[in-house]
Amino acid sequence: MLGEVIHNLGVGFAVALLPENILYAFVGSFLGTIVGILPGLGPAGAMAMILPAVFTLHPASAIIMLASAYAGAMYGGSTTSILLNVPGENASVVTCLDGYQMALQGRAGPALCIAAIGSFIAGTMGIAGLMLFGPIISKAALSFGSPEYFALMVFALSAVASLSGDTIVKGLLAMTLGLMVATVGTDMTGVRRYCFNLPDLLDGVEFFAVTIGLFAISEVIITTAEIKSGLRKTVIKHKIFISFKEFLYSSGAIIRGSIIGFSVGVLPGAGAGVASFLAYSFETQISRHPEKFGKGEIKGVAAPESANNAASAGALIPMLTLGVPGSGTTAIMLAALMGLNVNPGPLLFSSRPDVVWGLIAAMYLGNIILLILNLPLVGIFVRILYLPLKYILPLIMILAVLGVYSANMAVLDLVFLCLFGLLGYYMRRNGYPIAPVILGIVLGGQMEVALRQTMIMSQGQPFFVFERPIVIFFLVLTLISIFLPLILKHFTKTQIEYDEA
Amino acid sequence: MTIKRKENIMRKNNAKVLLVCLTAVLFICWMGPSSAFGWEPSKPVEIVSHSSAGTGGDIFIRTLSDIWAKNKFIPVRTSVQNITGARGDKARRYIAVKNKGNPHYLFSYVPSQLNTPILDKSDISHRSFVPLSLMAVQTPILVVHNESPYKSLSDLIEAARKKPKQITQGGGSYGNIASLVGKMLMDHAGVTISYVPYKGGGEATVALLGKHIDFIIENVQEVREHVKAGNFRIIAATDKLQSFPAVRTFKEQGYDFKTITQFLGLVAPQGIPAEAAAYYIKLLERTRGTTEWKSYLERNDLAEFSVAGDAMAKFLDDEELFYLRLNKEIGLLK
Repeated sequence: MLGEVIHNLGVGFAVALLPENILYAFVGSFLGTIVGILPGLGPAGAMAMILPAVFTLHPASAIIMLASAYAGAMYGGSTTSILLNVPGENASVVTCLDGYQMALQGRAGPALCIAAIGSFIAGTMGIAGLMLFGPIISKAALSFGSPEYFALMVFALSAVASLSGDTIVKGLLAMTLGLMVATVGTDMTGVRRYCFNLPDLLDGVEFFAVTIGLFAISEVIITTAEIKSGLRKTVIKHKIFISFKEFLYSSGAIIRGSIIGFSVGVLPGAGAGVASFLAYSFETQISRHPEKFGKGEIKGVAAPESANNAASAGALIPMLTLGVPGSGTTAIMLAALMGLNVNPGPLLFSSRPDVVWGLIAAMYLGNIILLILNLPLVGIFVRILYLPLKYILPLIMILAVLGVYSANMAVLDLVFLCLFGLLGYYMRRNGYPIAPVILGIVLGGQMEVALRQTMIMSQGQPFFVFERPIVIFFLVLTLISIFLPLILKHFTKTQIEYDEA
Repeated sequence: MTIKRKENIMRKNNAKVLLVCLTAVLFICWMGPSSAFGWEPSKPVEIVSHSSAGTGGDIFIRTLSDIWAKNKFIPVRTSVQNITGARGDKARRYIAVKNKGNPHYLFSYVPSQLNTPILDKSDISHRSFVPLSLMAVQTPILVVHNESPYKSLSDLIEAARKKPKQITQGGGSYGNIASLVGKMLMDHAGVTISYVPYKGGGEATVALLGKHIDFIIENVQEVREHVKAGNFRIIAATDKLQSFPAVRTFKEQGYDFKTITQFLGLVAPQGIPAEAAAYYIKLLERTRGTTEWKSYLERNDLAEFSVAGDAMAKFLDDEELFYLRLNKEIGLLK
């Protein structure tokens, strides 16, 4: 079996390493990175943009270019999160928390470096997982039905504890707001909720308008206020590259993030956003210094950035083996493959090994190109922070408005951008954490659907879920993640009291 | 003074007349060559599907786009876009409202496009579109997991009779064609099941693969790969299947109920020039003659269906009435 894998991979690389295909991989990676950097346009946008061009190419080259763009967009997503507090895509929201703090402390270089290195390691591990266990994993993922998804989402909600710091009540309030925003739109039975007859609301409030409003616009307001009152500290110029010590320190977080990301990514109904939240919350929970998170902890960048890259590699598994796209991005990938007369599905691995192995080889290649491409870019990007604020703040505003508008071309989204910007300002001024709002929105819709499906299947009997081992596993995990920090806190408190005495 | 002013005005008027003349000449020149050969698209044509890649309505427009490109039927590039969300309303609005009158946008039209607006009481109906042509009819099939205890349709129905509401059908949002066919079948048999709505047929397929639901009703092209791979078993079809001749129809198994014509058609936004509509109708007529189209029909167990233009409008009117009645009969609409 391993011999077969090596042979197939050899065939894949023989195609991927043709000079013109290396060029396509390079172009794809570059375009993907650039588009990924722009907020609002995530991997899905990057791929949709190059899709028309791709169809004029040879199928193998087309897939290589798409795969590189896919990987590239996932790399680029973290850049604006770290530098400007503007999340590039929903999987990079968590990266803002510690990444932007690091940037304010003059450590933007190491943050960008660890995001690139983490992405590289996670992307490569994810592809290795896809290559070695793809079909097996896709079978295992099938045991996830609606009750399991619901339990997973409940577990993911418990991440609110690590996103709220000391203000757990305020964190819960923020999360509830997110869950409420998630109810807007057409529900699974066709009922319109809080749509007010506005067609732009039929599919809910645009996620980017909320995210970028809460993070970026509020940041602009706060910074302006700080300049006025003279409180603003200038960014300290600092080293650009990461030290080996910092890399070693966060390597564990990268590996754990990759594993969590890949496992969540292979579930067709979860996605990279959920993966990054889970990875972040896991890191805070096992950390000996959870209080450092949210204040510029490098592990807080390494874990979610690794998780979202591993998840995007994992998400290829249901797409390739079941023909079912797990995310907007893989949906475009699927459309691209079908446009090239490749039908993903249970027979793809045996019927079109050239496509599968070409894709796998291209993803390896893309990851290497991206690392080479991204590390030198760090030096350039970091300089953005040395610009005077009078240039940075308008730049953030332009990026925010462009990014949000490009998602749907809807003016209403810009209204929401402003509203959530003001709300974000109010919340941050009054000590409310904003990340739980995003958590609520990311999880709310999927969680509700999974719960309602579960209830239909069981005809309203809530307790049948306890017959399902995966459900129990996640519910137990949820309890542990809620109560363990409390117990530990109590324990350390008594320890301190003991020490003091 | 007054004369000068008059002259000025005259001059201005002259200039205006000249400008109008010039524009008219330019316009005629611009219109000239294309109107001599009838209307032709001058910009890339975008075909939109309301469902995600891989569904019947999506494969249909991808096939059209391929055939047009391969045979050079159309002087511009065509692209396919999937605009999902809000039960198809996003895609319908994109075509009927945002691109109203734009002849470079086409829309994949399937029965759910007719029925969801009725159920959702939407202001967009089939009258918001210019009908071009209906091209094919799909055959919905009832599929169970290969390890399922139900070997025939009567196994399934009897199980549903013994355990009311405990047999589950999965599919896209409620009110789509799969759910209607399921409801009509069960009403006909006098049993009740539960319908579990998913984001789309694809997610329901995954749920069936994981044995979380009992059956799905989908079109052949959406589940063919899984049947071939031995994951799924077809236990009934609305019509005879060429690729799976052993499968018995609902009627042959003693369940004779009125089924739904699961058509695949193409429409354009209302307000496009009549020449443009004529151009596309002709284009689709030419498409029908190609070998690629015939092999697409055969490969996907589709029946040829050619109703174009006004006849299609009449057909859609009748179908709309049928759905209105059906929705009331099965209690989806009061």
